[in-house]
Amino acid sequence: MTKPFRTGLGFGLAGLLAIALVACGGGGDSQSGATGGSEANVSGKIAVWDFEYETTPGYTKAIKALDAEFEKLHPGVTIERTAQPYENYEAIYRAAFTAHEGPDIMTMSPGQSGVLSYKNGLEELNDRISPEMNESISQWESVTPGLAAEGPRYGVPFGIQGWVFYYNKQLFAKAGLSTSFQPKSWGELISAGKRLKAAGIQPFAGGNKEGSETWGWFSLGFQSANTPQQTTELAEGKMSYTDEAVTKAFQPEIETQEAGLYPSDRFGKTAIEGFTQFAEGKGAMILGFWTTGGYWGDFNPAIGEKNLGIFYPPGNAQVGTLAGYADSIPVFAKNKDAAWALIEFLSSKKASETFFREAGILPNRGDVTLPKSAPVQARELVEASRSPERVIAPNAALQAAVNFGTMPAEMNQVLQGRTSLEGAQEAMQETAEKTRVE
Amino acid sequence: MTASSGAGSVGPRTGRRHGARHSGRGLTRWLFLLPALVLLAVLIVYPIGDAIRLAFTSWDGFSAPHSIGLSNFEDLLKDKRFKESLLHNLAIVVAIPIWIAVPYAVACGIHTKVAGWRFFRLVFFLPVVLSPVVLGAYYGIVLAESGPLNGALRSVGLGGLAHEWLNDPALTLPVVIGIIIWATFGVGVLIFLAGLANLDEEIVEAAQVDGASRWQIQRHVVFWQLLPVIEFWTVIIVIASFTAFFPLIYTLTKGGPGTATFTVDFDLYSEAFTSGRLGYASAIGVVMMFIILVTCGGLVALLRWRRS
Amino acid sequence: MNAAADSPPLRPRLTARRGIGRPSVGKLAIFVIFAALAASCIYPLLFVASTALRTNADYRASPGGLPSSFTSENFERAFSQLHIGRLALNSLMVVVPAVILIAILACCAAYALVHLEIRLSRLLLAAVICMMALPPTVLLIPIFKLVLDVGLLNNRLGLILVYTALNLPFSIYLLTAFMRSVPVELLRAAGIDGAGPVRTLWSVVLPLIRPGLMTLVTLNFLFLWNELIFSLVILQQGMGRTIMVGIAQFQAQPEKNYGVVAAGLLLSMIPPLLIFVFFQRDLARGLTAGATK
Repeated sequence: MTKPFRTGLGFGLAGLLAIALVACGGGGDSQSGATGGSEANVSGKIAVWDFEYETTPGYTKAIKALDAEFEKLHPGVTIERTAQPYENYEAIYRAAFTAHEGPDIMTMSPGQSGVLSYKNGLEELNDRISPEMNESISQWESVTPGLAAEGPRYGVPFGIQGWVFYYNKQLFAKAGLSTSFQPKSWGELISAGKRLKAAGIQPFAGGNKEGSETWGWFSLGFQSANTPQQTTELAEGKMSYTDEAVTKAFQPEIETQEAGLYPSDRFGKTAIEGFTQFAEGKGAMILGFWTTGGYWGDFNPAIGEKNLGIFYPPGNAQVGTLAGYADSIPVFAKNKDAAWALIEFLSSKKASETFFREAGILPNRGDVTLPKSAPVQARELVEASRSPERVIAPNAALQAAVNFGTMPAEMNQVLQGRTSLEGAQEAMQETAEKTRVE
Repeated sequence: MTASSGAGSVGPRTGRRHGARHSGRGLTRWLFLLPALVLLAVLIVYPIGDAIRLAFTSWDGFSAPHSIGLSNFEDLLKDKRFKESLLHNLAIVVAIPIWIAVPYAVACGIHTKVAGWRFFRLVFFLPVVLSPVVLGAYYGIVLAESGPLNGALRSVGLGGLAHEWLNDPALTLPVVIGIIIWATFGVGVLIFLAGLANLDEEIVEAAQVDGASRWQIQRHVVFWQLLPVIEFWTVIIVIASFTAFFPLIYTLTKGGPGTATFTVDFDLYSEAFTSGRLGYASAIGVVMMFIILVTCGGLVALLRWRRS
Repeated sequence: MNAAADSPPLRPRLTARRGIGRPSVGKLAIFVIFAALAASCIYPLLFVASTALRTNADYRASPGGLPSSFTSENFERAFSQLHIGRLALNSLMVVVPAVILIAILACCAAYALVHLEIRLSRLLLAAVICMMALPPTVLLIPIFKLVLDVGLLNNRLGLILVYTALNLPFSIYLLTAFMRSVPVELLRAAGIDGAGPVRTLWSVVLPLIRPGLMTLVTLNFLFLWNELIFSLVILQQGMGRTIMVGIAQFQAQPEKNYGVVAAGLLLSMIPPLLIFVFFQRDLARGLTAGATK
């Protein structure tokens, strides 16, 4: 009822502010110069829904500073950033899409289970993305259907995320293993684990109650055994979950579990409890993340920067990454130009540096160099992400219902020897067919 | 027995007889009902209609829903996950007699003014106030393989009874049901206490004068007088067991081990919001409504059966 | 044999002291069982309290054990970062009006359905039960769209009305159960005295169903206080968020916030418990008053 009134008021305000901006000679420019003509429209309120905000202290600090700076650059703009609970954000996002009413920017998880499952309600951003931006930012596959390198972009990727193995060099040395460990085959990893066990050291720390470790093992296993094209086929539904490529992807975790390299209560503990075990030195290896949680930033203070090693999965591709998250503009956004200016600003070199400094978010921009004080693991990972060998993390190909439901549930039973892998794969395929987003 | 027939007379039928007294003022009667009915019509009945209409469509929430007839329901018949979850819910329904008996017995106990009854009444309400997050964390620790419960069992020489309580496919569902009953019995106690406070003491005293035993009074007087309340509690827990326990199950077991504690409300939530199959989710909701109503009807009929 | 006289279950004594001199075996058994059950109910509370009073590192070292040192930092952060005070106030501003509104509407409706001769009252009651049987998850989006259409999105009134409607079927149903036990003779007497339905409800029925009404208020307060998903979707703006949404939003990174979340949850339990104590104490008075009558 009040909607026309509000819209009118909004336009009025926007007009006034635009005039004010022009009168002031354009105010701030800097980063957003690339968008050219849209500058005049950067005004009014930008509503942002953000599930990272006010949960991670570092991210919150960084984003508050950056928002304030953006508002300073664009005096007509106010940013209204609303924290959304991560566990339930789907409900509020879905409600917004059904009613065509919501914010100007939504943070999204990367890949098929996140941004791409909402693509029918999101703006295609290709026209706005400058060639320079396209060039300097990586992880675009995380926001492109089929996880393709080129194609419609439904968001702008931020940060670099992925799975990688961390190991405790001190414990490795104790077991007589090399402290620059990089297995050339899964068999080598398992025999190293057995050697640790023989030396009385718990080989892997971990907790898989909610099945999140399985996502990591699957992703590393898939990239190790298959090609990036096969990842794309899985994402597009051209490959069935009953395919041999998927069977192979699950083997490393099954073998590791069967070899007894995990604690006996792995399925009674959460992933976070596993990270804690590793940080306390109660396990020589852990499957961890690249950034944000269960990563070098958590482990270094506990076991020492010099003592924390990284190794990659053996096989075809060692480095698989995806975006940490993505910022998208829903089709019903009321202030798209300003929203885009903010997204562009937050993906700038300077913002990426702030995100790393305050929150340890690894930059997905080629022109950002980490400070000398940055931990060796962070620098190593950023370098790895820029290697031409890097592939999209296959986990990005999983649809939400497979990722959050069927896969962790079914694999939990397979890993405990209660059901067959074949049956689990069939169940995943069934879910995938049911819930595919066209 | 006179007492029982006396209790029976305090029923809806007598209320109606009395009501005839006011039948002359038709409009006033409806004015009592109208505000509630209007609100319900707008905010519940209309959305329910919307949801039922959606159950016959395919809708991803982005474009307009399009009608697909009974297709969602046909798919539902073939949906293994749904059927499995439904079985788990029915297992919860089987536990309903305990779910009625425990709070009923506890409320009667408090009503006897057992020493410290005020304290007990407050304390029994505590689990109700605990959030599912707390319950998940707490029972995760207590029931862990090397947790306090198994520790206690082992220390008294009952190590054979120690189990992976939350990771044994055969045990987890009963354990979760136990925790759910524990976490909600406080609500039942509250409701039954209110019912006991409303007892017609005269009938009870009459029965005592007649020389009825404590058990006889309990069975023939109190039970019948509390029947409307018992019926209410039964209907509420049937509904809740289908629609309201997902948060608890989610924080306790994440639906696991495997799919051993998946429930229909979890299935519904993930179909609607994780997968965005809003039409299909509505169909699940409609089927659930049907099952809930049939179950409620059956149980209420069972409760009333002995009465006639 | 005076087994009946000896059994106070159904006979709240005017002289409560009487029991003390004669502890029966049955009462002792009840006491022992209750004590055990009470222990199981108190222990989780101690667990939350201890988690709230210790550092995260201390919690992780032994989650189920006792704290090695105490800190008030979590409570400070619950106020400074989680803004638990503002969240609680937001919740109260929605929950209290809704609870009052529900109580009024449900009383009137239940009274009409049970004691005034309404045609189709049985059918209406059945319809009320049907309304409870559709899972709220399915109603989320239809209700959200409705609230949006009438312009009440991000408006407390919108959530108050939705909460009222959602809990009204339950409340009407609960009160009908209590209305039925109101002795008809009393209503008839009131009718003979010339009291209209309004006065009969106010001065005859309400005092009699007070236990049920108190229970209703307590339960509705608790349910709405803990409600998450409708609040999340209808009050979308950060400043208006209710307490459970605020806490849920904060616990996305549990390993960093265990203590603060525990402190927040502990504080969030206080209002429902206060309501419980307040209304149940009152209920005990009602009980004895009823017995002397």
